[in-house]
Amino acid sequence: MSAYVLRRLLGTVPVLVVATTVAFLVLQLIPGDPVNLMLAGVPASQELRENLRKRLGLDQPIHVQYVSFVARAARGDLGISFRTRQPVAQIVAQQLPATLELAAGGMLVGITFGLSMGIVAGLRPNSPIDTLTMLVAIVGISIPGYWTAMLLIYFFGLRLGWVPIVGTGLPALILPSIVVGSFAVGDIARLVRSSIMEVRNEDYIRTARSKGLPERRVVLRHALRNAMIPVVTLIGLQMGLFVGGGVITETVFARQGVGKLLVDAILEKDYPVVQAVILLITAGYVYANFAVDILYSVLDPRIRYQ
Amino acid sequence: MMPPSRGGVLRSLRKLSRNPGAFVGAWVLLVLLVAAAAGRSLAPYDPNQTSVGAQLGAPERAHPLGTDRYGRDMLSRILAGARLSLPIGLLAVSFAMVFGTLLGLVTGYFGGRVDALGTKVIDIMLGFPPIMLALLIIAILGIGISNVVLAVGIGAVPRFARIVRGATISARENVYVEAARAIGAGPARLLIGHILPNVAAPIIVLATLYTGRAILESSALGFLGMGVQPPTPEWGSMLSEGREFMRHAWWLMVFPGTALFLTVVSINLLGDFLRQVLDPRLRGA
Repeated sequence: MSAYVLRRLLGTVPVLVVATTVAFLVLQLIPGDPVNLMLAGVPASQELRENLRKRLGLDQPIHVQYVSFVARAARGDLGISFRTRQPVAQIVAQQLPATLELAAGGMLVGITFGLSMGIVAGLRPNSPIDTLTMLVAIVGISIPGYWTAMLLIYFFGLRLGWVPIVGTGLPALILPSIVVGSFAVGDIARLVRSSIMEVRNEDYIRTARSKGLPERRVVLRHALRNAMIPVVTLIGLQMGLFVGGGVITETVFARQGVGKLLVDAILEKDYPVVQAVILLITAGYVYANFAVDILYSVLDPRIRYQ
Repeated sequence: MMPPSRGGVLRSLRKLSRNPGAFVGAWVLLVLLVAAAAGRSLAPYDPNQTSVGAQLGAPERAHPLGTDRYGRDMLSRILAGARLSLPIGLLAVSFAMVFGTLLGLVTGYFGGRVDALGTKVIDIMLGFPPIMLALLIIAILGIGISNVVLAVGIGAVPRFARIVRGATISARENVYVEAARAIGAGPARLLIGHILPNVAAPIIVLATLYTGRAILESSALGFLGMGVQPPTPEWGSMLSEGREFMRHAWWLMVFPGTALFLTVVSINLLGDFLRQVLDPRLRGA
């Protein structure tokens, strides 16, 4: 087991190296001089510019800049924001809890609805609930997430006034979680349905039934457990959706969060913040997938020996 | 798998008429395409023509889908938006299809070190969350239509590459490939003339399914203010405007969103159908 974990852990290194390099290159590739961007049009003497350049390390050769960028990033020093002059790590840390909250809410919604719809549909193929599930699945992948968000805000926030559309706390988290979760509901439901349909005629299910176990137990303990393996993988792959969903959803709901921070930073050309968020989100995505891989190998021991 | 013959096409059309979802999807898409193509002559007004006194007008006879904050006719703008949103999605997918297919063919055919390197590149690209990759490319290249095409297209390249690589690996062992090689066909001719036609089916299926996604992603970039810039009418940026006026003018948010949703859902229904017809191996995938 530990050999497997180690191998998987080493596998995450190339992506992180590329992410770090790409984040570093952002500042090199953008058109124009970073010093000008930092000064944001404020007139400054040549001397001040040179000082600033020296302080940012921009007068060094590119490979020296790269090494110092990686070394600083490893210590958690991600530079200073061009706009607010605050340390970037501090800015990102302030926004992180809101994003994690939203991702957790979204996962909860996606998994709860996806699983229950998939189970019911899989047990009763071609029933109305099955048709409904397939319909939800196709609508789910076809509807723009930010539009879902706007419709929910309009009906449940503005028209009916059932939930607050801004603010913090649990009630304000309901609609954004539904939006982020809705990206995944269809996919999860579809996969659970086909997994359940595959296992429901297996011998061990027939055995469980014939020894008189109640249907609930047959489904939850025997069918679902074996149907879960591909589902867990899918949820791992969906991490990107939860992350990406955050970027859009936070903007629509004008919520705090890393996604909104990234969008604003790109629009305001605040590149140190862009670099930091790219690193953070990619690392988060990579390690979430790593965690899923490990969980996968716990569910299905055969994986470890491949 | 061989591309369908003429009889196969007829059979497929008959199958299409029996699949209600795909049938509706095909019709809706056809109507949208015709509307987009004939947009200029169908549209009652110039999409950028402002009108003082008609700002934020609710739907009525003169403006069936209402007017926006500058009094511009929403129907005309949505029709004009179709001429932008559809090509952006198609171009992005074409980009991904060409480069992804090339990468997949080369890695799958040559194997060995080429494959190891190619697979690594594919894996690393898949390691980035898709929207992040798009935003990153926009951050570097700047805001604009062609950059949106690139940003969305590049993100889809590894997905095409992975499918094509797999299909190529199984196709290269076929007898006809060996036969062609025996009579002296070089790698380029083998890849383009013999292997590509046999991996075409999954490429077509993936391209259809990805077109919907590409349209959604590029509209999302437009919505975030990173794609098409106002006053050019594009569905995503129109929806961003709709969000501002949600309280007073629901039509600004409902109609462009409906157009976007209908387009993508019909493409997806059609893609699902193609998947069933063209590629039994992808069924349930």
